[in-house]
Amino acid sequence: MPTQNLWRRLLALLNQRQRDADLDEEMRLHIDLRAAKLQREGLAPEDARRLARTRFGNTTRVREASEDAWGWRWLTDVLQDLRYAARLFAKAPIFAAVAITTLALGIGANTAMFSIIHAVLLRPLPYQDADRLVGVWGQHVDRPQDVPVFTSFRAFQEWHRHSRSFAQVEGGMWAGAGQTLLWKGVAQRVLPISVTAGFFSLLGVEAARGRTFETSDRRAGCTVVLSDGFWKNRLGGSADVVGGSLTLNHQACTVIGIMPQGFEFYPKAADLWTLITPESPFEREPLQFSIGVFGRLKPNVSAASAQAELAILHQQAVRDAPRDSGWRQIVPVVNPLQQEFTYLAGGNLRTALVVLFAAVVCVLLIACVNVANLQLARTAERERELAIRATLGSGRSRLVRQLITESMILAVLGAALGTSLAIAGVNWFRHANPVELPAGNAVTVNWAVLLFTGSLAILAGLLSGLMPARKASRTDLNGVLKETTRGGTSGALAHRTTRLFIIAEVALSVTLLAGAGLLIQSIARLSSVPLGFRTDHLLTAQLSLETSSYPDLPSRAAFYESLTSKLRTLPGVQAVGMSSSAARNLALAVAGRAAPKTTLGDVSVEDVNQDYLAAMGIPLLRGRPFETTDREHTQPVAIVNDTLARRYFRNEAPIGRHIKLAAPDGESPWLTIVGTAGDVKGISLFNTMSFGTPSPLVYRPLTQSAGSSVQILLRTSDTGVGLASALQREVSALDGDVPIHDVRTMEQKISESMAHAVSSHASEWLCWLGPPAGGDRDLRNAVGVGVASHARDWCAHGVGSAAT
Amino acid sequence: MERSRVRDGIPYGTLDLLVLKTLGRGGTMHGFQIADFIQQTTESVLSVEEGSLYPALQRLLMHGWVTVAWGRTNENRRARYYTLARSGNKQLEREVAKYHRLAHAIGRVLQVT
Repeated sequence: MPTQNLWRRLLALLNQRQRDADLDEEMRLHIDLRAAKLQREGLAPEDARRLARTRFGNTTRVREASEDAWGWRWLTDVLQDLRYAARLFAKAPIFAAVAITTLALGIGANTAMFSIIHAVLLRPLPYQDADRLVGVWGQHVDRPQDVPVFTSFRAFQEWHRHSRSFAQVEGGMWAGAGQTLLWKGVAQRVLPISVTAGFFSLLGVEAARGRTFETSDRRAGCTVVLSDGFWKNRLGGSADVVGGSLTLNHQACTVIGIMPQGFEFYPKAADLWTLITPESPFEREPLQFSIGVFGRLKPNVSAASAQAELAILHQQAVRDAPRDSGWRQIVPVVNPLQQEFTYLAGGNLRTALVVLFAAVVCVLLIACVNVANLQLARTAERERELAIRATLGSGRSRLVRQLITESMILAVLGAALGTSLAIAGVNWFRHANPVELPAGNAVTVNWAVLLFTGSLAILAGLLSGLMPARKASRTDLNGVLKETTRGGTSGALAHRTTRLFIIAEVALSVTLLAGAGLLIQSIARLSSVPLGFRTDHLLTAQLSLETSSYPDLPSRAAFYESLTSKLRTLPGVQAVGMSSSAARNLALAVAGRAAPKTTLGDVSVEDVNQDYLAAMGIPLLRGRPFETTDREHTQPVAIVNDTLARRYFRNEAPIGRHIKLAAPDGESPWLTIVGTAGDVKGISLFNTMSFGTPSPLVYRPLTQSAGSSVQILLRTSDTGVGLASALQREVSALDGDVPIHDVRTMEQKISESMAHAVSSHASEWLCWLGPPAGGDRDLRNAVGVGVASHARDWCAHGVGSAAT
Repeated sequence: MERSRVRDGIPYGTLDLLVLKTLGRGGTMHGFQIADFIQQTTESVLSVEEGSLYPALQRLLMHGWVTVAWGRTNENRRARYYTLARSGNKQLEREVAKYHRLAHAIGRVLQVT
């Protein structure tokens, strides 16, 4: 259409009112003149007038056709429909409010859920070439169903130097988590991540202030890069921090840069990044230390072929490892980084998000059906009005459009309200953090999400409007008009439609209810699971000692002992327990039997103090507890749990037997079993809906083997909450440089991990809704052990290496 | 179905041609005059719902082929008088040529024995 026409059309649009008046006048004149002419030809005045009208035709239709000529008919129609609908809603405000609120809840829930899905699963990670970034993990060669583990630093070195599939291979290590930072005379607990020099360049992220690591920093002593949050919240955010120095684990470190706000990598809680240098333990004993490996694939190299190359290089790497080294049992697996992040945040997270999304879609469908039902009821009331409009010349399609417009208005208003709800929800979500979400993209209601919401609104409008409109368009005009009562017939069709709606609604609701029911049942079942110890009246706290101040067993044991005796005198304290998780996945040698072939096994080790079992309420099944006579230089002893006793000794009596925990150097001492204790289920839920089944466990006395961090457990006569400050005071009295953290009651701790598990729980819904989709990864998730929790413990010790 | 009755008796698209031709005789006319002229000239062979003339006039206005101005009838009533614009003249020629081509072609087909 030429531009000139467009101008005339726009002018016509602006002069619409005038144009309508002109046309009306023209038509009046035409009919008058025709009537006059007919009268002159001899017709009676009334007859002439009637015939003139008949010959002219329907004026409404002429008016509409004239609108059509200008191409604005649709617009005036829409505006008219809108005005009409607005008047209707003003007359029935309760109906409008109910419908809008219903849709707002449905659309709001979907918008909020989609913003999470968008950030976590859809949007690429905010790194350079995010689609080519991968994570490399180790998998047990014979037991691929086991959770993946970190690989050795030795393997990393091999890949870093020789891999051809990767543009870049770097490493980062967050385990061993927590060190003490001294800043302006105050000791604080921090989470530093050890990374290789190219870590930040791999991600393609620059520092906001200063710079990130360079290869030359490897020779420059200790250098650190700070996270924005840590710099602002813990160091006061002053600009002179860059270039300054801070004390990390009694070592002076130079701050070379601060990362931009919003920069995240796993784990999100990272406070600062330290550089792995030739002096680092990693490089000095590469087979003793493990690391998380990340890389950027070269273009057009698949993860599978990269994995094959890494596997070959890995064999080179473990050539020097001891024959029984656990590393020999490991093969590398390469997965997209985004997938890894999702998995690290929660084994079931991806599935849980998808299932939750399905659930909110169900909610929206129910909302639509509800609104459709409301509309249908109103359509029945309005049949007369619609029929009258139809006889006045409104086409059927025009009536259908009117009804659709009405539901569209409801949907759009619902979407607007729903979006506000979603924004509020997402804000709450960001602050409350009920679920750990993967590092990377922040959850926001952004344009993509709004686009989704817009489409939802249109869909909802159509869904809730089509059936009523279809029904209205089939109305039998004569039947309705002949009826004397208002809002009379509904007819068989209406009944059938209503019935269908009710069926759909019941089906959807049952789906949701069943899912919710299963979830509640799982929670109820979890809450009633006996964990093997008394969870009430138990206050817990974490404490860590500097290895430089407490370098050896006697100094640590002495500290723990004097702290224990001090805490025991606090009012309300009945028993003081301490435990330190020392190692996992070790093989066990039993005196008189063949030595295990590999250091990788199923036994965990915990170092505990004398009163640990009593404080926890774990029953001693046989033998004796640890006693004050178990000292550093006396016979090394152990208490084993029931599972270990059954698995390793079956019908034999374990007491008095000698066992040895596998260590790569083979130098760990033989331990004499002095007792067996009841099983304890781990309270770490591993993001699934079951407490871990007990695994074989060896307790060693804290006087004979003491790590640098312990969990303190106070068995109290009341809730124990009031003891937190007394606990802190006693620790500070002993040594002001020792921080304690995570002071919580055991019940809090359990409910937190349960909340975490529940929120990311999905497998049972999934079973109910249909067979699980997806590959082995999903199956593994369903079996369910999270790398996250696993990794944190696991890496602290490396594969098969002794406690660090 | 409603629409086809409006055009009953008059080949689709020829109403525009008839209006253009009517105005093309020179001078200005209001709607009733145009309708009346067409009916008288065709001796009412082309029966047409008179109202359908007005959307056609709007269409011609939109294309700029006719212009419109207020005037007074003999009875001294306000009326909108239509005049053929220059571009309308060209359009008339095109439409006439098109019509002849069509009529010729249809005539050829009808002559085939």
